[in-house]
Amino acid sequence: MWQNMLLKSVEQGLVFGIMALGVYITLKILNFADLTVDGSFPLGAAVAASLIISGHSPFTATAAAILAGALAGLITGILNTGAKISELLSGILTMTSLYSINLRIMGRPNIPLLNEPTIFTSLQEFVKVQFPVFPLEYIYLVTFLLFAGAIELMLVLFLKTQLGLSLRATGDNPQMIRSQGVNTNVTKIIGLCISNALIALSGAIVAQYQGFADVGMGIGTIIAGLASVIIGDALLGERSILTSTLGVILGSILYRFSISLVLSFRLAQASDLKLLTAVVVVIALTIPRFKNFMRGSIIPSERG
Amino acid sequence: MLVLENISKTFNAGTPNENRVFDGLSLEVNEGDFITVIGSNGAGKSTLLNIIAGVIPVDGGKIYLDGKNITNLPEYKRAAFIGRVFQDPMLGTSPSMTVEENLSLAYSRACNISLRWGLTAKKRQIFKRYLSNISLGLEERLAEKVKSLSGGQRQALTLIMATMKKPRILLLDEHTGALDPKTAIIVNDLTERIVKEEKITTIMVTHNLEDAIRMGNRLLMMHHGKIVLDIRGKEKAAMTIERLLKKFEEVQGEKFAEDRMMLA
Repeated sequence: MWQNMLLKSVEQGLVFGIMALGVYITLKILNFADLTVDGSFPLGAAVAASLIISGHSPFTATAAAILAGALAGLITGILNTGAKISELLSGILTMTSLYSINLRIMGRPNIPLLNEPTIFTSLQEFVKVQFPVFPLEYIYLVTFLLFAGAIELMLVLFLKTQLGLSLRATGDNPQMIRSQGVNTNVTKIIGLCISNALIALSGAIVAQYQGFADVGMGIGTIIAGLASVIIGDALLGERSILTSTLGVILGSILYRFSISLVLSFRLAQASDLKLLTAVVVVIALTIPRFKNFMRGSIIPSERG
Repeated sequence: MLVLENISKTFNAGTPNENRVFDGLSLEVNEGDFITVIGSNGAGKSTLLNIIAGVIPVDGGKIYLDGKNITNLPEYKRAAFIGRVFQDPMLGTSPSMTVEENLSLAYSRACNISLRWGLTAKKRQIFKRYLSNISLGLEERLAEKVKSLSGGQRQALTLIMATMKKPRILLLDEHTGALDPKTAIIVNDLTERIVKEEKITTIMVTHNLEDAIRMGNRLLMMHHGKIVLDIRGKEKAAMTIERLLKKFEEVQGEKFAEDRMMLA
């Protein structure tokens, strides 16, 4: 049972880690509190599930989900930079309208995918034929590991390009990067598109992994993403982009693990999950301050 | 080369806090000018630079650079030919990025939206050469985050970033104002050297009368949004702090002990 719980936490941590990387881009790189997340995550699931049940290949469906997510980011970006609506409100507006849009896309609140082809059924068949000795119970773990790893690597490389540097500077010092000739509206929008594309991708994979898409599956996604980013920060710090993105994925795994731990001890029931998440975030946010406070009281600060 | 024509600018128009900064300001900057600008607080010195850089839009009037009307060009587009250094050392660099990453952004000024690598061995070589020129030891700290640098080092770095890709015009807004006297001298020397070597047309706002007289070829004194003194060449060379202060008092019509203290 323990082994199974660990396996499931790591699997979930990896796949939700892709979503957390999306949150990391807006929150840490762009310094933009984007709440589109709660809408773009189920959007990815809705697009992928709808296309799969209408007979499209699960790979096309997943690619379409990525595009849909980027589009959601674009809308939030235009609301913020073009219509000059505040960051928070822009995200909330897109998130809220996405709830209706997701229902439209799905046509009903829930789409089961149990007997549908998914990227995993294709993958399982491929592995069965090519590598018959491979233990199939680890197929999700290995796929997610490769997947999350590849996406993290691509993100790290992207952030090292000239455009990536401009994105980082946009979050760090917009005044300076404008004086270097960068239109910060454009960099913000690009960042929001990439972020929400990753989040929708995560939603599309989660839907195929758990076997259904549900219009309510996005509630609290932002908090889970936030928790992962913060835990990652506390674990590995901000030494470099590579370590901090790794930290985000590790944070996501740790977060899923702590949630299932609490649930398995029957300390809470499944419906308490969102409350638990909020508590985890509060704890993760206050631990560093508590640590500083302790340090400050034991070793007097240099300035006296 | 740079022409400001009949510029007017009012902040908070129509409110009790209405502040008319410029009402018909005109200025012509010539190729190769190194202009120092002095004036009391609220004279409009910083606003002047912000208007040239496109940070603040004008209410009326026109701005021409090399005969081209740039009045409505947004800030990020003007950045292609304007280099800036601000008073606050925190403003000119990106603190959580490294020295070389900051330099890379300046190196590709106005073409930063590309998927080429931000840093290459070749670029690092170029950056090293630039930094070893200013002898602050920064060439050994390329991979360090800028927030670990001192204010003076950051200002020197900003100056290099502003001039690395030679701008048509360099705007310095009291860029040594927040530095200790010793560091201010180093950054001022560096400024003079770069401006001279690269022959960059420069406008420098300063509160230091000595610097204003010693540096550059032309001196402007501003008061209440007007240029009340515009001297150059021999006339500027013959200027002294005492006479400048007297001039200050003349235009202000009364003695501002506070200004005197600050400027002396």
